[in-house]
Amino acid sequence: MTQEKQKKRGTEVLYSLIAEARGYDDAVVLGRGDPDFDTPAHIVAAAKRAFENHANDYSPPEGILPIREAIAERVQRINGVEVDPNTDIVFTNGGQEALFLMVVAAIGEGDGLLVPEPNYNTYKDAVTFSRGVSVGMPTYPAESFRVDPERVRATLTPDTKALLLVSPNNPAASVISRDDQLALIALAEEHDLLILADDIYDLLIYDDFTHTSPASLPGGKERTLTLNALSKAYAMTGWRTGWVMGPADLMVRVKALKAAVSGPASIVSQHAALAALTGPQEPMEEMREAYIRRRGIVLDYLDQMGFSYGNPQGGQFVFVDIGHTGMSSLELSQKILSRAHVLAYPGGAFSEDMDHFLRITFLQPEDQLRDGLARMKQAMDAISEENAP
Amino acid sequence: MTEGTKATLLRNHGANELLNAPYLAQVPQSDLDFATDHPVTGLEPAVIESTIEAMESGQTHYVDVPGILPLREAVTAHLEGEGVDGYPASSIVVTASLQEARFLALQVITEALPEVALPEVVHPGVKAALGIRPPGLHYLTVERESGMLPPIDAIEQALERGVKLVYLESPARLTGAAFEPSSVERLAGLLESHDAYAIWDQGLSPFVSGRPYLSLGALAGMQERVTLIGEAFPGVGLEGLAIGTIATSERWAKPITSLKQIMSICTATASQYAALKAGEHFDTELGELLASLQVVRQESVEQLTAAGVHVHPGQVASLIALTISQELASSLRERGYRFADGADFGHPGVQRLSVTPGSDVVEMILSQLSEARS
Ligand SMILES: Cc1ncc(COP(=O)(O)O)c(C=O)c1O
Repeated sequence: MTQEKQKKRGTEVLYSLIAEARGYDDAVVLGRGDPDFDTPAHIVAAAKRAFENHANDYSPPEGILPIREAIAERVQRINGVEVDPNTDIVFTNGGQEALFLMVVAAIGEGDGLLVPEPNYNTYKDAVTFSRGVSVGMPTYPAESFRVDPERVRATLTPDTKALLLVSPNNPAASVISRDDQLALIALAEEHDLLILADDIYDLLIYDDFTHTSPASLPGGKERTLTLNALSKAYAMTGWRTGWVMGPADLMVRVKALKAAVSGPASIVSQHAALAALTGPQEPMEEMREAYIRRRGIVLDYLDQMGFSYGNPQGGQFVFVDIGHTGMSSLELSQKILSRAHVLAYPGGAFSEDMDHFLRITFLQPEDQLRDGLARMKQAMDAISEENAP
Repeated sequence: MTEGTKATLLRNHGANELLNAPYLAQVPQSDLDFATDHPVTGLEPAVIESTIEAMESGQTHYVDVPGILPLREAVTAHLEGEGVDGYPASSIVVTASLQEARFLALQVITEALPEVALPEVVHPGVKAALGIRPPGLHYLTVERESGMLPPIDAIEQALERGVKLVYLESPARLTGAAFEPSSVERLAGLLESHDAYAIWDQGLSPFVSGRPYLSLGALAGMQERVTLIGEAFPGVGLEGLAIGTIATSERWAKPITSLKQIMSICTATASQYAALKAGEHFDTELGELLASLQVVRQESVEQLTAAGVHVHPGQVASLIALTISQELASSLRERGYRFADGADFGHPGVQRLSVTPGSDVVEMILSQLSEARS
C-alpha cells in the first residue's frame, strides 16, 4: 500500500470516527488521546497572570529562557539528561510540532526512518512530508511489543538514517527496557544512525516498569533528538506545549526549522508550561493515580469480554487483540460505535499489520468508563452470539 | 572515509541559505526596538477576562484542527466587512502565527504547483518557509518608485513562462506599499487567463490609510485562486499569542488542514479565545490606534524628508521605510535602537521602523543625522 493510502487509513479514519461519535448524545469516547481532566487550576491561574503581565513580552523562536531552564531542570531530574538551556532546547507547539521538527531535521528526501510498528500515525505523515521513507519494524503482542534490537538490525537498509524510539509506545503501551535501549544505541553507533526519541508518556508508567531516555545512556546523547510535551501528563492538550532537546549542533538546525515553520509559541502557553513544570505537582500525581485505577477497570472488563492484550506498561491506553472475532478492526470499531455508542480506535489506523487490534484509552471518568465498557460488553456478547455457528 | 550522517546533515543545513534566512520577531525586545511592522499594544482587560473564563470552563483540550468555529466565522465576517466575500468559515484555517500560515500555504500549494514567483524584496520568513522542500523559485524584480512592489508586467512574464503560483505581499512587509486597485484588477485577469494561483499576504491591510485598499481576494472569481494569509486581528495586542489565519479555496483547505494536523494538531485554545474576543471590537479599537499612527507617521515623514532622508513610498500608517547611511544605522544600533534591516528582505540600505506614538526615535535619527553632518 502506498504511503498516501496509508495516511488516509490512519488519520482520516480516526477523524471520521470522531465525527460519527459526535452524533450520539450518549457517546463514550475511548478513542482519542485527550485526557478528560481539565488543565489544573494553578496552571490556568498562571496563564491569567501571563495575560496580564507578559502578553507583550518578546520570545525568541526557541522560547523564553525561563521555560528552557525549567525544562532543563526537569529532564535532568526525571530523565537524567544534562542539557544546556541556552543551546539544547526548543519549545514547541505541543509534542506534535516537536515530532514534526525532529523528523524534518533528521530525514530528507530518500532517507529512511526506522519506525517500530504499530505507531502513532503522525510519524509516517511527517516522513512523507519530508519525502523520506518510513521503514516499518514489526513488534509482536506475544513479546509485549518489544522493540527487539536484533530485529531492528535485520530491518536496516542502506538508506536508513535514523531510528525512532517511542517509549512508552502509542498505541502498544510497551516500554523499551534499559538493556534494549543500550543495544539500540550500540546499533545506532555501529550504523551511524541518529535516534529520534519520543518520551511523551515518560511519567505514565505502570507496575514495576521504568522509563529510560536514550539520551541518558552512554553514546546516546550526541546522536539523539528527544521530544516531550505536557499535553498528556498535565492535561494540557489545548495549550500546545512541548519541546525538542538534543545536542547543540543538531539543535541549531531544529531552531532554524522552528523559526521557518512557525516562530515562537504563544507567550501565554509558555508561561502556562512554566507553571506546570515549576508549580505544585500534586494535581498531576492525582491524575496519574486515577489512570492507574482506570487501567485496572479496563483490564477487568477486557478479561470479562475474553479479550487478550499486551500488558499496558505505560501510556493511557490498552491495545486489545480482537483476532478471535474474525473482524477487521475498523469493522468492529464501527459496530461497537453504532450499537453501543462507544468509540474505540481501530488498530488498522495505526499500522496495516495491526488490523486485529483496538486501542482503548482510559481518559474518561470512572463512571463513564464503566458505563462505556459495560455497553461494549453487551455489544460484544450480541456480536459473538450472531457469529456463533 | 565517508562523511558521517550528522556531519552531512549539518553541512547541508549550513548551505541552505533559504532556510537560514534571518528571523524577524513580531514582538519588540525593548522600548528601543522598532523592528516590528506595527506597534504592539496592550490587550484589553475584557479580552483577558473572556479568555480566562473559557479556560476555567474547561476549554483546555484539543479543538478542531482548522480552529474553533466561532473564530473562523469571525474571520469570515471580518473579511466580508472589508469587501472580501466568498471565504466561508469552512475555508478558514487558524494557525499558530503568521509564519505558520506562510509555511502551510506555501508548502501545500507548491507541492501541487512546484514553481513559485515571488518579489525579490520580500519578508525573510517567506524564504525560510520555502527552505524546506524548496520549489522552483522565480524572483520578480521590484520598482523603487512603487515602494518595492513587483510591476504587474514582471508577474505577467513569469506567468507567460508557465509559473502557476505567485506569492505577493500587499501591503509589502518592508515598505507598506500596497498595489493600486487597477493593478489588482489587472492581476486578477492575468491569474484567470493563465489559470494561475496566488498567495496574498494582506496582514498589514488594516493599517492602510488615506487610500482605498483592494484585496485580490475581493475580485469576482478570485476565491478559487487566491489564498489570503495574515495575522489574526493585528494591532490589538495579540502578537505575543502567535495567531494567524489562512482563507483559502475548497481545493486547498483540505490539504492545508491535513498538514496543520501533522504539524501541530491545532492552535492553542487560549490564543484562539483571545483572538475571538479581540475580534469583536477590532474595528473600533484599531480605528483609535490608526488615527494616532497616521498623525505620528505624517509628522515623522515630513521631518525626515525635510532633513533630506529618503522615505520609501508606502500606504500603511504602522511603519516607515527609509534609506539612511550604514554609519548612521550603526550608530543608532549602538545606542540600543533596533530597526528591521532591508538587507534581510533583499534590499540593503533600507531601514524599517514601526511607527510608535510617544517614542523619540525620529528625533534621535534627526539629531544623529545633524551631528554626523556638522
Ligand atoms: C506518541 C505521541 N507523540 C506525540 C504526540 C503529540 O501530542 P501533543 O502534540 O498533544 O503534545 C502524541 C499524541 O497523541 C503521541 O501519542
